[in-house]
Amino acid sequence: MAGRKLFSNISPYRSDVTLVIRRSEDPRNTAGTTDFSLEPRQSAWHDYGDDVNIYLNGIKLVSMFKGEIIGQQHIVIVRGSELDNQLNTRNAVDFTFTNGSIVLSTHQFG
Amino acid sequence: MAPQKTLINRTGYPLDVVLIVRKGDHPSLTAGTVNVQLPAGPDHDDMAADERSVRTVTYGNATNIYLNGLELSLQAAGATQSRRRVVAERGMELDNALNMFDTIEFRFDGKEIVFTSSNAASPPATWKFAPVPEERAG
Repeated sequence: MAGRKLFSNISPYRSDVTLVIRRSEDPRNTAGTTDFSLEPRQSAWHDYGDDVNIYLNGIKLVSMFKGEIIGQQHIVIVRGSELDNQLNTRNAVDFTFTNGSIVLSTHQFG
Repeated sequence: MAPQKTLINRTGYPLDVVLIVRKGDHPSLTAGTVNVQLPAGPDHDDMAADERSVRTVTYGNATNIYLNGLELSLQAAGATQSRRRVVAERGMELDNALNMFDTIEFRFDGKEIVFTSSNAASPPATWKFAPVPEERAG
């Protein structure tokens, strides 16, 4: 079964999301990306990867606010790092917005 | 004369900075980029690293004097973090932060790279609250 997570955009701005999928277990390898958009205050479940590629290697976010385009990207390079745990040990990812930054947090849903 | 900015890396990690230069005065046009690598600093054990974590960088030319955006990336806690902020509209917060000041300072809060702008030559804003004796004529 592929990976599946609940993504929630709690910010007041539309956000374009790109999930970077890990190929098997080593963060150096990538198995493509999945793109979707979330409207302000929208939540949605998204599937990514496949039976073998069940981990995320990173996430890229793009939003527009206050006359600027803001892009952020967080990519795992070491397994067991804080970001790796955030992305791969919980099934819900939230985006909020503070002081010109998109802030990522994760929790276990259900 | 080409414009300059002083960049200060206070993130604690080596930082890659890309300055995105505006072509003329409209933010939809870009006149190339300038890449700068700033070592982690300040590290007071290594004076050379301290000095290199502060760099005055020349970008653009006599016509292209504005910045359109910044790309910042560093490696920390087993992950790479990067941020890109690009101006879409003039006179907004980011445009002002990039183009009304001569110094940009970078910090890292553990999750995000943040930056603040200031002018080296002007005193901090708080100084203005000090009482100034008024001169009265007569």
